[in-house]
Amino acid sequence: MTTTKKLSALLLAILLAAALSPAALADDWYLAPGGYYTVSLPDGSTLFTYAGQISADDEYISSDNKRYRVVSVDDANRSAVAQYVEDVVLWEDFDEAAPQNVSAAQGRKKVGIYCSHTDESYIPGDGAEAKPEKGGILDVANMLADELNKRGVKAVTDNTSHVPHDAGAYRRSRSSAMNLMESLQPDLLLDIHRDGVPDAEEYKGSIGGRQVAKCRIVLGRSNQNVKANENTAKKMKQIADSTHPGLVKDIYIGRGSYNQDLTPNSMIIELGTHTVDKENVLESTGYLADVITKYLGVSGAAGKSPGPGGEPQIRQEAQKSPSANRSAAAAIAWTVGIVGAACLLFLLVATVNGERRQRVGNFFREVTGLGRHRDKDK
Amino acid sequence: MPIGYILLIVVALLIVFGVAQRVLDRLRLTDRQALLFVAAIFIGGIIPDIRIGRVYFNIGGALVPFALCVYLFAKAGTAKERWRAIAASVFSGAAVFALGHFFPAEPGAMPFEINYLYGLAAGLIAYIFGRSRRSAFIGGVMGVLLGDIAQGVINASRGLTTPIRLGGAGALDVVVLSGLLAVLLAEVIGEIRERMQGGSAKKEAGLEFDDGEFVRAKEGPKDDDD
Repeated sequence: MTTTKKLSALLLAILLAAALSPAALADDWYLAPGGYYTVSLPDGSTLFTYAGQISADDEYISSDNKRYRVVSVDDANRSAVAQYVEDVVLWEDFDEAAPQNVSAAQGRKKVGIYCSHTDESYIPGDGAEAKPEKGGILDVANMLADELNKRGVKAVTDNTSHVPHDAGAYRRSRSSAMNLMESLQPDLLLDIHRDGVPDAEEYKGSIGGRQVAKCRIVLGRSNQNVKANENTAKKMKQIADSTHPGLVKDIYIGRGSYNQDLTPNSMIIELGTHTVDKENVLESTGYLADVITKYLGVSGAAGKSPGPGGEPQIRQEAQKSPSANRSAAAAIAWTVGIVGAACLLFLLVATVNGERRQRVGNFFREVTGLGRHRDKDK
Repeated sequence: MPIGYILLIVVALLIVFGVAQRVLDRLRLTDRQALLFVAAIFIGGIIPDIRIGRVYFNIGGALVPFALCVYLFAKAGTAKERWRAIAASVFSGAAVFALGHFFPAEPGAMPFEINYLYGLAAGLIAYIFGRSRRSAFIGGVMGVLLGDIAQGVINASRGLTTPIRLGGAGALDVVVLSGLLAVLLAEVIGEIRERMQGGSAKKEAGLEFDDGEFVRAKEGPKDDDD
């Protein structure tokens, strides 16, 4: 049998096996014993748990605003060790009384919301940790949008289903994210999830005597917007710490992109875990909306109408913070670097030496009008 | 800036630079046609999707790349090359479908972004089938489209009403990324192989070409087309 025939047979077998396998409607590997990661400090004490993949060099900003970096991972035992890096200043010059409008754009602020894992649900409330197609997470996303709209922020939810819950889910949700970006041009793009750690206590909280579910912000570090997104996440946590302490319990910066390459000011927010009461999660959406509203610099509050003309009052003129400028510069440098490297690689691979020099020289002469155009046939 | 935009800008620069001339020749495209294609992807990506039932077609992300595939397919010089392109498309589609099912759901579990893997897989498959940049592009684009269609059919068979969004992210969709990466991979592998073999003269001495496209090696083990 020739190589091509062997390859064809192998690929056909893979296709058949994939087609006949049970539908992957729930990412339920975490329900198996030890199915989530426990990250500890070098002294053995538990730092946090996470129902996603932990990788070396992932970073974690704890509830008390300390940064840790994962230094070793034991996939077999689903454990990892992280070391303390530094204390984090979430927001330089933060003024609790009047938070700055960090967005330079004027007019009504907009938030786009979608759910890459639309099957995610809550056992207390939805009856299952996952539901085919329309999970309880969509109710949470829609409630968050409602709360934001009450506060004068224009929030739109894309309820498109992205099942199955497999490696293609983020590819499918990329369309939803792009649709929101094109139709709304949001100031903030949120992908709403819930965690999968089995211990509900990790996500239980209380604000003003009301039972709520805590939130975790998850960022992907495999894209050029990671620094900008981290700045946004830290500022939101700062606002949360000052207005609703305990609501945003931590920030996790892991490997992956999570479609956060599409725009800065994008992030995943995990509201609770599958064992937390869904009512508590829904309760959290109002407090989370407060945080987001203040981050966007909108003064509207729940139940109050916006200012004259139907537009909410903007507290201050937009100011670009130094950290935001550094993040933008980093993103630009990354982009220019990639473009240049890709062009150089192609130039090196697809041309020979003499042709290369000629093409570069001709291009320079055509653009600048200097020098004499050379033809290698002459 | 998202990687999809970066890649399209790189392609446009390479075309303007004149560096991509040999690739365009093999694709039977002129500079202007290629730049028009890039522009159509950008513009088509922001035009609202065309909806037919539960299937959404993004113009820039799906219809423009598909149209180019049809053009390249029609321009193929031999029936053998057309069959290779079809085979590359089918097997790329199978690979995209399988990658979605068998790879971890969490992006963090992968050492690199899985969106790039579709194009690389399609490029490799297409190159194995035909050493053809044309087949690579067709395989890259059609592989993702066919994979999405296959998933949509399976979802429908299970009673799910999930829409099928073909190329839904426009210029930033994996369809476009996959096609471009596939051609890039085929070009890189092809050029490296050429140089390792000592250049095109030595290479062509032992290989049979038909209408400018590789058919088979003249000596050594026969392939399945015999």
